[in-house]
Amino acid sequence: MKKKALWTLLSLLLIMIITISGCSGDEKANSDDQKDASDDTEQTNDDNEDSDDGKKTFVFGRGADSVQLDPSKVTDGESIYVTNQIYDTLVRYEEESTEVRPALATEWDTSDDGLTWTFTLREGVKFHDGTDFTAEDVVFNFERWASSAENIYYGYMFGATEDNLSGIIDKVEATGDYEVQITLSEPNAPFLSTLAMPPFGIASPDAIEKYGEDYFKNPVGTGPFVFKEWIVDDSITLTKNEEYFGEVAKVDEVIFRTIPDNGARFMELQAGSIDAMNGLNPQDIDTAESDENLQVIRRPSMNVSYMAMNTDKEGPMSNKLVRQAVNLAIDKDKLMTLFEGIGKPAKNPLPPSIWGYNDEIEDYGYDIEEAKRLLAEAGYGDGFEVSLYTMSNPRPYLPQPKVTAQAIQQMLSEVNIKVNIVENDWDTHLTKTENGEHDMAFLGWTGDNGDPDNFLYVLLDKDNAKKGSAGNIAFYKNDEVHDLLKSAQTEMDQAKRTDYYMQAQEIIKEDAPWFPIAHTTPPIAASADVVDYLPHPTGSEPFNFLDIKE
Amino acid sequence: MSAEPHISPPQLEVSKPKAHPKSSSLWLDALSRLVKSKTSFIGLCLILLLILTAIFAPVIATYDPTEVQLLDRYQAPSSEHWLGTDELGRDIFSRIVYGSRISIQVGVIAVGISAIVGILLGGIAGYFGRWVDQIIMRIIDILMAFPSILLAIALVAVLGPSLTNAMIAVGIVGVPQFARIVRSTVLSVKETEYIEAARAIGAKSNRILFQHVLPNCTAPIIVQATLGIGTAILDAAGLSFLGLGAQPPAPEWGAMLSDGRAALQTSPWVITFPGIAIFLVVLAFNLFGDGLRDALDPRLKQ
Repeated sequence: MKKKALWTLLSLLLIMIITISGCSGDEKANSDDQKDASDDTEQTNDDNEDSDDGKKTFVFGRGADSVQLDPSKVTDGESIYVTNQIYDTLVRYEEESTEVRPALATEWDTSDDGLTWTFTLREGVKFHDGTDFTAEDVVFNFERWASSAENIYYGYMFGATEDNLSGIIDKVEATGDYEVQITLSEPNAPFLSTLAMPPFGIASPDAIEKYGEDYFKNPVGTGPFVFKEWIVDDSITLTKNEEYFGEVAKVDEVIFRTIPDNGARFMELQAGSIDAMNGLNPQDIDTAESDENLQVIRRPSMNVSYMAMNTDKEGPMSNKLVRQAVNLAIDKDKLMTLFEGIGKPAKNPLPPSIWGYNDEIEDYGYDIEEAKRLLAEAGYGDGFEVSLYTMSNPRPYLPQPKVTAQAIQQMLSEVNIKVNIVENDWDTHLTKTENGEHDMAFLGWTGDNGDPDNFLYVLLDKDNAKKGSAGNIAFYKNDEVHDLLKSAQTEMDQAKRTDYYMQAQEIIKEDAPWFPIAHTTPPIAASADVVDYLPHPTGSEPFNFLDIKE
Repeated sequence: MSAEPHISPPQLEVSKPKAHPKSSSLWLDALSRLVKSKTSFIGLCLILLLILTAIFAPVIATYDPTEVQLLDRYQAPSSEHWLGTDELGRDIFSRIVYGSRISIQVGVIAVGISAIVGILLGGIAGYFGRWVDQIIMRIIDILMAFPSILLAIALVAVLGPSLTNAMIAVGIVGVPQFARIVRSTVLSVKETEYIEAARAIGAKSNRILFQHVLPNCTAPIIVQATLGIGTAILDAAGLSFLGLGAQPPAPEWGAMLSDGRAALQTSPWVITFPGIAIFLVVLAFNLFGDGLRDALDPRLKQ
């Protein structure tokens, strides 16, 4: 009897040990010494802005955690927000526009045919792991991006496919210790500004080899901040890079904290436990503005939110008439009340702040009768059921996804379309929509480089309608649009490119793969002590310029 | 029902005849005690109010509970919208009224599942004893070891989020309480003389269990069921709050709380009223359940 009890006890203990160790292994994704690092966090979480040793910490609250810290493999803003601090690109954007300025490359030159680009690199730059930055490292990074379809952005921007992993980039050579030559197979108008996008941050080859599969949680770059620790779904801590070649950060430490609920995050800001936050509830803007301890910073608008309709899935959504009817059946102006003044109704996939925007296009407008007629014509007059996938967390371009979904659910019920809302967290939402599991899905896009190509080609070209890594989650495939977008890519003359994009927008409007929702001016709320916070139109900005007043 | 008396310990009958001459008046007796207790009377009134609200929802409600009026978002309580409007301009009063239907449904169905499964398991375990008892009760112990809401979340995660699955999950979570109570009552009932008599005349096990033993366990079951409805409503509201229960646009109170969170600082009425509704209903079932327990407790008879 006694022996039996002993065995039971032992096996129970064993189960407990396994469970506990399993949990901690999952939750912690920090680098070298787990124990050391967790001791540090306790400290940094307690003392916020100015601690005893005079360390300045900038705490940024946001709604979702990063997916990966290897920027080449992700497309989501939450990952890029952090990697933008850790990595440098060959060229960077100006503080408030998408004009490029020197970064890791000090000078560049292009051949007359637009096919050969030569970059002169900055000397004396060191990666955070101490290794020197040379031309070979640039070559290594380009070859790595072209080595697998997992490097999603490389595919989006340079037309890489499973059969042609390197896309339009033919060759990348080191022509000197600090000189790199890139040869393209066809001219690419947005090439230089594309290189300034955070996904093309240059990573340390040594670190990539050292960490292998785990590199995504141990990022090493040359940027203004050095990665310190990542506690999944809680916080990411970065420390300042004292040896940064550009402007050395004024704060000593940056902590990205994940606080999923908008209201809770705002309360933390009011309480002073975070210094700035994105995803401010529209209805809290007034509260924040009238509070003298807070300030509201508005990010310039360069985004779009949309409801994509899966044209690839068998059923009603593959029918153009149905998609047009959906566009007609939703009252966009009323929907705008949910944006409380931070959103303007969208009629094109392109935001009006980007050149090439076709203002001639007339939106569908709200017309229930016409919608019913189209549905009847398509043979769906009796109605049908569809799923609408939505993310549970707010996005800068869609501050209240669930409420917006419910409003659309109600509006579509008027034309006998029964909408089932499927709500998932950010990571899952991206995976499921990239796999094309939805009938309809919310998503949005914040421009990366200020070029129309970055919206239209990434979001609506058939090249990017591949299941598993789709940027085009409407799985919209139109050869005419594809030809126009490809011509615009290879054409260097902006007037001609504008013309191509104008035409493409017309076809897209007619085919209605989306219900475009809004272009927003996303508000960021910050403590009044934060100075020189310059929001960048691309959705994330390096934090080395801002400061916290004493 | 059987001819056997419904009260178990025979010696208690001696103390009763004053008020009610018949021996089968246990229920009447309990009822009079129940009504005399103020708290349980309040509970009973609230429950009746809830049931009436649910039945006459279409008459009482002033608006369609799912009707979206985007131009009337976050209206403060007024004569037009008695309890204000929510983030989609829906009338909160009407939503709460219709939400009472969901709450009753959840409470009754979830407790029904708990009760049926729990009574069966507890009855079998208690009546047959030995290894049957060991196996069943150890499984029940495992279920009890999980925090109830966590177990419900896990179950819904497996079944998929919907109101039906939330009811099933909450129902399963409530099984152990019923099983334990029924088992312990069965253990005492099966030693009584009338059971012995039934066995002596050769009645089969399942006849004894279902015809004689279980009917004599009804009092504690009723108490547990009443208290359980309150808990079930609360658990289901919790699941809906987390997005695992009722799906939009259903006017479920927990989901209303969750949706109203965003406006906590600017429009507090959006979450206040559904919160009060949940509070009152759970309180009502708890008060009534407590009252029932006291009323049915034979020790309080004098």
